Amino acid sequence: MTTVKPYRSSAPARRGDFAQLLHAEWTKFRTVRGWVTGMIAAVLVIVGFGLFAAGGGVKASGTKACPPGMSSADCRSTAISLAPPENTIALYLIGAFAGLIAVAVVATMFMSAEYRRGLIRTTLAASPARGRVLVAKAIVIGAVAFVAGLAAAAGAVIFATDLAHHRGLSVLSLRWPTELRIIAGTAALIAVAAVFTLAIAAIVRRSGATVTIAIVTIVFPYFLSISNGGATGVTDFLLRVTPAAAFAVQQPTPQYYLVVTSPATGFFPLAPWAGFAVLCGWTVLALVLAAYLLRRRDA
Amino acid sequence: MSLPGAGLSRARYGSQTLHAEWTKLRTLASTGWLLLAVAVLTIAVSAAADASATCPSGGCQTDLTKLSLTGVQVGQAIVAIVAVLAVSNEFSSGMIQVTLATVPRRLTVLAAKAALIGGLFLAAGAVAVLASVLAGRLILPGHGFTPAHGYQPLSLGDGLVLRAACGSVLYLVLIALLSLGVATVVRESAVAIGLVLGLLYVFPVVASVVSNQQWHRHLEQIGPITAGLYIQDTVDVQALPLTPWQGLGVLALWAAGALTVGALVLRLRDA
Repeated sequence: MTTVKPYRSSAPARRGDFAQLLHAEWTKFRTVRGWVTGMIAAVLVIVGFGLFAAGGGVKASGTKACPPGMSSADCRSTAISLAPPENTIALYLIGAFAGLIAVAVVATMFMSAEYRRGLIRTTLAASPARGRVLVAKAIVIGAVAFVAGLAAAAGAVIFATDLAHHRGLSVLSLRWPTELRIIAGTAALIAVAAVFTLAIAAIVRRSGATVTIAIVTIVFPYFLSISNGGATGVTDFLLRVTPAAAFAVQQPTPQYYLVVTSPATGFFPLAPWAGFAVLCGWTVLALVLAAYLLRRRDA
Repeated sequence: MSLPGAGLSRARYGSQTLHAEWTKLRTLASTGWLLLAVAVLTIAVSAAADASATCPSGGCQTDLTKLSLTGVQVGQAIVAIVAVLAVSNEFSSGMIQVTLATVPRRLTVLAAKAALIGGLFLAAGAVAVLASVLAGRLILPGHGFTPAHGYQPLSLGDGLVLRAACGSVLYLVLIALLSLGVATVVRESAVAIGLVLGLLYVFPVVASVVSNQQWHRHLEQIGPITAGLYIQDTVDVQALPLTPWQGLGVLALWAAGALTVGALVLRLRDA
């Protein structure tokens, strides 16, 4: 009679090894084809929009200067035009919002699929420390989204700038720290937005509701400011308090208190990193609430 | 053994399917809450937009009707959820197999869903839009939009306001049908909602970076949100790239296209 040797993982059995948890979550992400495709789609969309912006020409309606401290509404009515239309790399990242929608869908499903399939019970049986599961998931989705966002932003800027030069368009060069901030900031925006979405998914557990909350809070105010040609009234307020404030990292020229009123580059009432901090604040809040509910509720 | 419902007349078959779909929709707790959310959010955002608008003494060019219907832009996101969930919930829970076993005529199922969702938002949209116009009528005169500045209080007796209000209700219905069609194609609720909202937002954003006037115009003409919301414009209507009803027609084409693809896919694919 042959004895069947039961399978044992080659990994040493250690309790509370966070690396193992990260590895498990990474395996879950990597092995679902749709999610990987979604991330690749996000990159392609951002680069594609960048090329379209460079290829279709860009529109900037002029640059205006405001004294610091002036409210944006006053500024819009009183500011003087300074310079001819500007064309900066921020325009080539116009696709970030669309890529962000794709990433938000993936981040939602990364969490909600666990509930849908009942896998969450296995996950929590394997790692009873529930908060750590959430942190591991957040790290995995955040890292993946950051890498995808960085590849997309860098690709969009490099290819689109190239195309613009090829077409004889002049691209206003910003100081390199600003350009770096715009590119890395876009990647960070996408990464933190993914973590925010994941936390919302852990809170509401339903994929449809999660995606809608994420898109309406992160993308919609940005969309509203663009479609209304700048931040006024309600949009100004929304771009200060909602997670959409983080799009301010794409603002090209903060150091001169310039207000680029082009709807394309958007006008953001907050300074770049201040706007990003608003998104981070919401993300931390959502994560804390998610961890609390995950520990308290039955899975 | 005969197919379920084989002995029924076509009309009776249809009405029974409608009844079954209505029961499914009605008995979900989320449907009522989400409908309430559509109305409340639309009215609240419209009122907030009214309250934040000002007319300085020098005069202003604001389109009050459009302003007082701003909330429709937020309400449509919730409309999209309800419509998407009406289909994707069945696929995620496996209920669709029971549904199609009971009503093997798949197009009848889709038509019943479309009729119900459309009717539901005709009602919810009417409440939301009427209350938004009323809010505008009450709030705006307090912000400088007075007869002295050439503004009459909003009234549905005004043909343009009536057109914008009715059109906004139809706009919400068409967004619901578009979402229903997309959800039937992709089946997964998160992906469907992402696609619908992406489709809605993409055209205005892309149009904003295109300098070529003709492209810009075309992008605005084909975008479901940009074209569809021309129905809310009451000032300088001649300058729009399309007439308001043509614009709503563009959105209707999008919805019809999505429903057609959805119907094809529903018939051809295994559920």
